[in-house]
Amino acid sequence: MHLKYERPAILMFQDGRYFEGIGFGATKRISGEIVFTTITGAGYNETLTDPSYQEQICIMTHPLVGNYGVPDWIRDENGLLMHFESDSIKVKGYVVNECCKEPSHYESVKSLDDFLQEQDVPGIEWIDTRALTKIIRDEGVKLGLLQVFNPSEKPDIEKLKQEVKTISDPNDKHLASEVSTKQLIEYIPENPKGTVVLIDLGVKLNIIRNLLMRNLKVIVVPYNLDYDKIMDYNPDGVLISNGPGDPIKCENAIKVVKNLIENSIPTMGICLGNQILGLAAGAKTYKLKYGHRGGNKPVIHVPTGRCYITTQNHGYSVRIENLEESDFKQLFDNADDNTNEGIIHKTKPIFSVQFHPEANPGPLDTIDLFDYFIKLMEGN
Amino acid sequence: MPLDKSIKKILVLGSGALKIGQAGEFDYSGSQALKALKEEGIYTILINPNIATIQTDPQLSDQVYLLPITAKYVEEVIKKERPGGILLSFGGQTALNVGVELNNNRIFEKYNIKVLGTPIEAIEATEDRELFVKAMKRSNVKVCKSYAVDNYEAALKAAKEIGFPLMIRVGYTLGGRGSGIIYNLEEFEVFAKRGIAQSMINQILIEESVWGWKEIEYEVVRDSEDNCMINCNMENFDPVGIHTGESIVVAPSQTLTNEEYHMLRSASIRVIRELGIIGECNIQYALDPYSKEFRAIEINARLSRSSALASKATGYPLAYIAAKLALGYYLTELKNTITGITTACFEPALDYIVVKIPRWDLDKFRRVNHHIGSQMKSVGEVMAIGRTFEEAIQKAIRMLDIDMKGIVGNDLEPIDDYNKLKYELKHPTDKRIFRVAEAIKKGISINEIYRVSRIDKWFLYKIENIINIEKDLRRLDLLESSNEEKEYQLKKAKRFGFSDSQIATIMGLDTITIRRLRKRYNILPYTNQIDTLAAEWPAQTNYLYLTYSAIEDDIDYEKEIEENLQKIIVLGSGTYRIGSSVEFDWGCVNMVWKLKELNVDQVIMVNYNPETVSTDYDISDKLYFEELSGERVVDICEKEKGYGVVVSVGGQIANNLAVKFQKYNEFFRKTNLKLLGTQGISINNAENRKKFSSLLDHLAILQPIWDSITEKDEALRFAKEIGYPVLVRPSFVLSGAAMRVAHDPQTLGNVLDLASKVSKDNPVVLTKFFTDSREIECDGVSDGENVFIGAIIEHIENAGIHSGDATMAIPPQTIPNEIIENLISISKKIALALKIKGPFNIQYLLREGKLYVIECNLRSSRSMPLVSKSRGINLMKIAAEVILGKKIDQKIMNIPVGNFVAIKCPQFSFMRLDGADPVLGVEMASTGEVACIGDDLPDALIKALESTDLKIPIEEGNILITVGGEKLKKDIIPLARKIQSLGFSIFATEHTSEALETAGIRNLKLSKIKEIGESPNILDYIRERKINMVINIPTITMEAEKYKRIMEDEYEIRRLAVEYNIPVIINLQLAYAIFDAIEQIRERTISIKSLNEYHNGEMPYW
Repeated sequence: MHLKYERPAILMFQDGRYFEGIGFGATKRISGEIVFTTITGAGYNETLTDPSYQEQICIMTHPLVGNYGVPDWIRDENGLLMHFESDSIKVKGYVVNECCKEPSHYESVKSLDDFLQEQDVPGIEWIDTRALTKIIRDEGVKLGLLQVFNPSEKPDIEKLKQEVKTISDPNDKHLASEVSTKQLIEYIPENPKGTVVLIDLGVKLNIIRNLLMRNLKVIVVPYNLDYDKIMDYNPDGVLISNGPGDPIKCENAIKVVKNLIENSIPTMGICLGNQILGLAAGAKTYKLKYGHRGGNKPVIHVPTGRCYITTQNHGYSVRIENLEESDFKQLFDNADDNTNEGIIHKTKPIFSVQFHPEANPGPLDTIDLFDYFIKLMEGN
Repeated sequence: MPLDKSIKKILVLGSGALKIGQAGEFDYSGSQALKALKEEGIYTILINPNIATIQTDPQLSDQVYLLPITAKYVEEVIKKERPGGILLSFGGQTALNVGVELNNNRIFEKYNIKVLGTPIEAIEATEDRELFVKAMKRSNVKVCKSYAVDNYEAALKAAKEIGFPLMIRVGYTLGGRGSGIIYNLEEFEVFAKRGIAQSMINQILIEESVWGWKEIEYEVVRDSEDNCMINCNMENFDPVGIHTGESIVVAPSQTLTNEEYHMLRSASIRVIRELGIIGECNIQYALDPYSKEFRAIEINARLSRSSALASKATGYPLAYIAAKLALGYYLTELKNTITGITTACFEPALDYIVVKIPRWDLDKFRRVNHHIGSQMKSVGEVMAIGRTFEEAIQKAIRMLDIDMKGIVGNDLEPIDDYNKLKYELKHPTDKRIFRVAEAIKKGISINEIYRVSRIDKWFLYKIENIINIEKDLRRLDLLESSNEEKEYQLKKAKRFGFSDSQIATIMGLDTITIRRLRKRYNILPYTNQIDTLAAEWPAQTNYLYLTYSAIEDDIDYEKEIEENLQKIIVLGSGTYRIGSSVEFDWGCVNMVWKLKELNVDQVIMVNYNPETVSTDYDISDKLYFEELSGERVVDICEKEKGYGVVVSVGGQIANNLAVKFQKYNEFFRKTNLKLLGTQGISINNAENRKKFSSLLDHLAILQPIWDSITEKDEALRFAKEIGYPVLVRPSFVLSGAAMRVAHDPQTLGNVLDLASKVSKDNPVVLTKFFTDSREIECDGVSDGENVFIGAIIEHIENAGIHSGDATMAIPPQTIPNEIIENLISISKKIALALKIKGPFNIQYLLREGKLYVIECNLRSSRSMPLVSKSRGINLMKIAAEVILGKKIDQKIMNIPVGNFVAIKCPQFSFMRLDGADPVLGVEMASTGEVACIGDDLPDALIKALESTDLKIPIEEGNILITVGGEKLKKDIIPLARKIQSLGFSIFATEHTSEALETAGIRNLKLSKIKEIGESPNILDYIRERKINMVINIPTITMEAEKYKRIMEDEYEIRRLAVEYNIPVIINLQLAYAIFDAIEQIRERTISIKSLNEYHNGEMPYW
């Protein structure tokens, strides 16, 4: 039973297993790939607007979500949104143990519930997120649907079971193309000391903020811009952004990176960018069972053995075995499962990381990698 | 760098007796450190006089020294043992301070000892405010404007710079002693002057106040390779201004945004790197609730109360890891002990919320100030785990064991006056959380409550939610409401942490009815694992809690039941409070260990105290970090089924559950579990005064005259008949809750009013109270046929002082042999008559050659570890065997008693408790204890006294004597004569001085404190530390007006002495024992021997 104003909600796996809860956000049905993140309760606004979650239904393992509400859509002096990682919620459906209805923070202007309604995204709460996480951990990520019903509407489970069978895998699509910028955007700080072309495959705004903070002009270009056009901007370096989906779909970006390598252009890749660098270097990528999503992931810097805590959000990984014959070597290694966390060219100023040095959400321990990128651009 | 193999022998410093600000958490950290060292094959030496701890068990280290943790004694041990390294971070502030002192004295240099882990310079930078401020500046972290001053003039100047309100902090003390927020000049003068006097380095800090900011803590870990990680962050429910030890704390933080969380996280890493800490530290911040401004408040460069909490909250063994890092390991070389495969260099992700609440015992103290603030007053804490905040906090409130059912549904006297209530929100007491709920119910707006209390509105909304659920439950009608509605509301209430009994109270029903109802609706709690990684990796350990926000158990109970495992559930001791602390955890842990040694398939622990070793998940096979309530324990029993439950080692909470199972019988029966050891009916026969008394009569054993009484008039008549003084006590008590002595009818009347409030259902018992008797106890184990007496314990003080506060000797020092034999024979008779199968403790009075039984406990007692370690026989081992049906091995009866004396001394925390009168009576007041072993009584007594922070003047000194009444003035003469003969100078108050003069004892008369201006005055002498010891035998408490003045004068002297850390001796027998000891100890050196040496390296039955 639900109270009169409460909306029933169902989360269903493609195999028909389903979980009941209470709906929040939009009243609608969506489908997608179901993943979990272990990020703390601090970081849901950044998580929700992270374009790498395109087409994903996200489970928060942290039990209480929405505690400090949602800030306003305000922009900084560069015209960048201050509190979010893109201009809309990218998560397709949100699964939490509890959605806070009465948030408390001086910057908050609305509740998480309001935010999802505004953005037409459905959410489900009062659901055992731990039980769901265990299933995904043991069986791997799965497709499924999430529907929020009207109050007093009774979910038709059998109908949903039919619907869920028809879901197709969003990773068959070129997801990065969906979230990439449609047109070129320039961000110019005062007295820039260099120019970076950023290939936007679903970039998180904090990557741009970090470049601007370091006095770099940033030219954000669409996923399909070719190498020559990029070089027309005479960049000091190129950054391949994070983004959703299967890296092999990013054919143009792979081609661009091959050229960047050949021409020794200083290049940095982040997350999807790491996979693209890997593919350009001749390595293969593969899908992880349930990915790495969270803000507590330890990576080892291979040359020094030092460990850093990082934010991660990826479902695919570079197979390091193929890397040995290439001109690249492993830069970072995951301390828990030894998957690849970054590669670096043996001689050229080119590297990439699988994790998110820009954080947001998460720890800032590897933020210096942007400075390292600048050093490469400066020829050091 | 892996392990530093050059160091083969390491000295670990413990923290000594439990006291306010430094409690059981250091048993946890020390035990983990010893374990981490032992694994590496390192020879370990421990110094800790706290005999009731697990860490002082002989199997945990190679040598245990039960000695004071002072520079003098530690140096003696160093001289003897010659360790290559020393660990200072595991014994709280005590160990840290001694480490700094030894370093200043160049002792480490002299004996070529390496300080492992955090270097001394880093410790100093966190302890000395000026160094701290500099270090923070280098780390680019702001601190509050602050001036370190060492005299009042400079203090005044600093105060003018900063303006009121401001904060005074006292350097080099435990838990912020003497600190406070100061609003005006008068307060300032008092606090500043006292602070300067109290500080070890005579230094206080005058600081900018950040009252009302959010208080956030980070637990940070760093290795020698500079790898850093945050183990946990925590948010205080109570804002800055309330000491974190006095605050409700949640983990992880709940109201911080990503930006705020990582702003503070990054700052923490900058700080730990700048300081160069190797191991663990705790950093406390104040965060402005309206901007990104923050200040670092404090750093503890050691394991702390917060780190113990973080460790239990996350499942990450901080102390163990910190010890490994101190040995040279890198974080990356160590594994996450929960998953067994992932690295230890990570940050735990929590899929639950943890709430800690302090436990106060302020009602135990006379005259104490009940307000909480920047000084720590709590004596223990509880930690609750849930998937909603409401679930966790309501669980935590019940765990406090203060008769509160949660946020609502309580029997608490309301504050009707609106303004008074608001005043209390701003100036909180130990009842704060309930007052907040009351304010919401009264309709005070959330905004207004926030304005005065500065408790973040997020927390207030959650409390409001609980109140709304209560309203819904009230509207619910068992007959009228639909099944759907009942199911929904019950489900909701359970999800938000309401207990069955709380719901029953609200709905006016019986607890069992609610249990039946919700079981019919299939509303059941499920077991979740704490796995450090929010289910991302499977856990190899069984660290568990129950929640209603789950749909399945993480444990495959069906499979376990199919496997037909022999499971034993051991119930723990709950929160530490006065009268029940680490000694009961010692019993629990040893019971678990011994049962495992006896090949029980699964030993399961239930406890909720984060300061304990029993709540380390690797002690038992399964750990339920859960409530010790009838409801929850039966929930666990229903899941586990299995073999049996042990209630006899966790103290009174566990013991009382044995009786509660009867109420839950319809459920408990189905679990096929049996109560192991002594049965509930026997427990009832001992706890029920009437039944126990008739049993004694039947056995022809003497007891003081008594009667069970429900009416006041009846009590007054009975008291008149047997003569005053009389002892008043309710049934089922531990540590003398609401026990009082009445010397006159007026007091008796008042005491009865208080006693009936404490226990409505039980009548009070009136007993003839003897003071001129000896008090003797015995601890033993019985198997139903054979009785093993572990030891006979004699109190140094005459009867009348609670056994928890008494100084105790093993073996007895003044009792004739035939009495001892008689006592043994009586004890055996009682044990057999009560059909005890397990541990027990019996207390006796010896009066005119006759033994009277005053109490019998059919469970592990406070003195069990003392008896076990001094006897060299582990009574818990015998108890474990008995519980499994074995008979006591006759061989142990012949193990000889060692030729030495063990002395137990109480540790008091009066200095922490503003206003508290340091007198003793039948209510226990000590917060901890120590025990030292010596070649004889003087040797052991001096060591034990020095272990409780008392500076005993051995060679010379000034002794102030003040006693009231003709009798005491006469009794004191021989003592004074002895003191004089030992060369001490005697000071005395007016009448005492005359009495001494008349007896020919030289002394200097001092004026009373209130006689200001008359010199020489006690006030000046104490302030200038010209007095080395105060002997004041308090005048008995009488209501009569004429005694009031004398009592007031005495109180002032005692209190002042306590505040200046001058020993106050309030018992004549103890005073005699001390001066006898001083006399003898002057002739020789104090013995420095380990526990192992006293037992000649052999403890065959351990």
